[in-house]
Amino acid sequence: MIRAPIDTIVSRRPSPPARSRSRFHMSLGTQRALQGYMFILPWVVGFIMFLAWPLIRSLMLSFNELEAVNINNVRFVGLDNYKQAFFVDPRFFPILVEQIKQTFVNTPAILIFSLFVAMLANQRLFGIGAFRGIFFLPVIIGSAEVIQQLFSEGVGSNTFGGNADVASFLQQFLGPTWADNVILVLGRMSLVLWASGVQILIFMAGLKSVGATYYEAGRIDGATGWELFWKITVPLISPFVLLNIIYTVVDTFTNSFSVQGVINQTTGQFTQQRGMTVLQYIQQTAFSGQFRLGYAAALGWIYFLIMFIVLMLVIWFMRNRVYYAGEK
Amino acid sequence: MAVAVPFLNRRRRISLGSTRVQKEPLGIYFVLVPMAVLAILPLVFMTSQALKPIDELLKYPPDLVVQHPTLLNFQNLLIATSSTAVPFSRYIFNSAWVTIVQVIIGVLIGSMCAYPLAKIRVPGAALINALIIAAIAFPPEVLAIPNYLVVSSLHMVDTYYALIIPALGASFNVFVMTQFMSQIPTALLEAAKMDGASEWMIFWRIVIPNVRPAIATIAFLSFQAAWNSSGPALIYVRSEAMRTLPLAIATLGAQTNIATIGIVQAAGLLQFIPSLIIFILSRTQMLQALAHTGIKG
Repeated sequence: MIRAPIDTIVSRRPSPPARSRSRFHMSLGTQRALQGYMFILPWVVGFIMFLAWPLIRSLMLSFNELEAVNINNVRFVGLDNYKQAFFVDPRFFPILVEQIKQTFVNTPAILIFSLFVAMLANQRLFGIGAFRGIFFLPVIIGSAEVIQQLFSEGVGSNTFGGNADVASFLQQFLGPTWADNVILVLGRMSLVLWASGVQILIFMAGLKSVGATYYEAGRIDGATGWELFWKITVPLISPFVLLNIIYTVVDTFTNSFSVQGVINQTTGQFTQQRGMTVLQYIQQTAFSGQFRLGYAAALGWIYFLIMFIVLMLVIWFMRNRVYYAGEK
Repeated sequence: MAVAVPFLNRRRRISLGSTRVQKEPLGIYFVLVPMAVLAILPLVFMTSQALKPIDELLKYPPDLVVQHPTLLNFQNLLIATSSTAVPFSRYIFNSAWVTIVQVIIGVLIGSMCAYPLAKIRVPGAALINALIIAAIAFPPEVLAIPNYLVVSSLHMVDTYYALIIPALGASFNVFVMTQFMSQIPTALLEAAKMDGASEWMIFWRIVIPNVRPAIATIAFLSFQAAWNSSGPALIYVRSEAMRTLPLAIATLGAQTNIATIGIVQAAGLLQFIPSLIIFILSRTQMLQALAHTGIKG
């Protein structure tokens, strides 16, 4: 069930001539495969020790009730944790739905935006090197929690208000309703920009791998810029599109993008806040309050299954659309 | 070398018989500059936070730019770090050591795993690819406790091994490398094979030089993850001397002292500087054109 879609796109199928070779070549093939496994081995060892095994433990944990840190106090409850997540817990399901919604909205936006920026940044222009560096700045800072702070303290009023006072200017100019919406859009745009650094980088590297000769040949044959983009650029960077979709889906799913406009009742100030992510909720369940480890494991598995299905759908959808240049 | 951008590049078309002089498309700057301003905002905010006196730090909502800059936060940081039980340089060393080993070995393992998946037809590659996707999809937070049990059963708690080894098999690295390696022409590898090169030699001499941008990319991302995360240290470290820099800073910030708000901001800015340097160093590698290898897919 899992293997079918991946098999069709990610693995290289043997080309027909290789298959029709004689037995002698088959043994060579086996030899190659064995050498190949030696390359994979270190990763597999790490995977089994630090992912597969803990994963199985957490799956077992998800069918049990375990509330204290005391590991001995385990009670088997079957599917109760899963039932609770969907039917009893008032908070988990709305957070999950919101997050899935945000992922579907933001992934295309980030992808299109980062491709656009990468293409601009790949132009030969004066000072373009500086721009390339600047677009990546949010990623360098991102993990230093500054962006998080920008959010928690109200990105809208802060970023576009603050000293520059764009907010009050907009409010005078457009009226409060429109101004708030414009600020909301600006806030969302800056979110997309701040989340696009890695994707821009991957696209830039991908675009660099497209040989200039293709474009020359295309231009000599009279192709327009539009045609060059769709007929040359897009197919040749399709593996990086797949890569970026996967990265973006995981990234947007782990980092919340749900920006809520909040109007402070006492001061009347308009700010934007970041919603809670599924991961934050899982962490809160596991490591604070009652330390409900069993329930947190079940939530983790729900999260994982949804994410895995989404990624598999992406790969299945892209399977005939990804073009591997090296295969010819 | 420039990639065709529809709309902006129309002038480049060769009209019959005459070649037009290409104008500098100024319009691009009208798009680039506002986006650059937006991208630089977090850095501006971060810098001014570090320079803010306490009363400005407590202001809500905060100002984007500091009004009365002061170096007091850095002074307080210096005082706080010189009074810790273990010299602060020890934390910096711990972080640097863990990060360097993790980046080098992690990138090597990731590239090695990707090569057969992209270029050698190994049976079971589909299964391994599915496992990689599963590994990317699984939230690491949920694995914290089972992982701790594994690490403690290997007697690695409170050692560098605990901080380095579990992070080595990062599956995203493998996925990135597979995508990039798949773009290397198979003919190039077959030619080397004809000349009697072993798989290991092909990997080092042909595959690796051809994916330098990808290596620089995953090396930088691994660096970011290792340098900035306090998670593993929080779980696996017991003794003072084994703490990493992010954990030490988090500990400083947890003290109930009003000066710590500023200290954390100052420390955060200082912690960002190595990331910036590494990024600038790896950037030229990342953006290196593959077309220069002389082989065009």
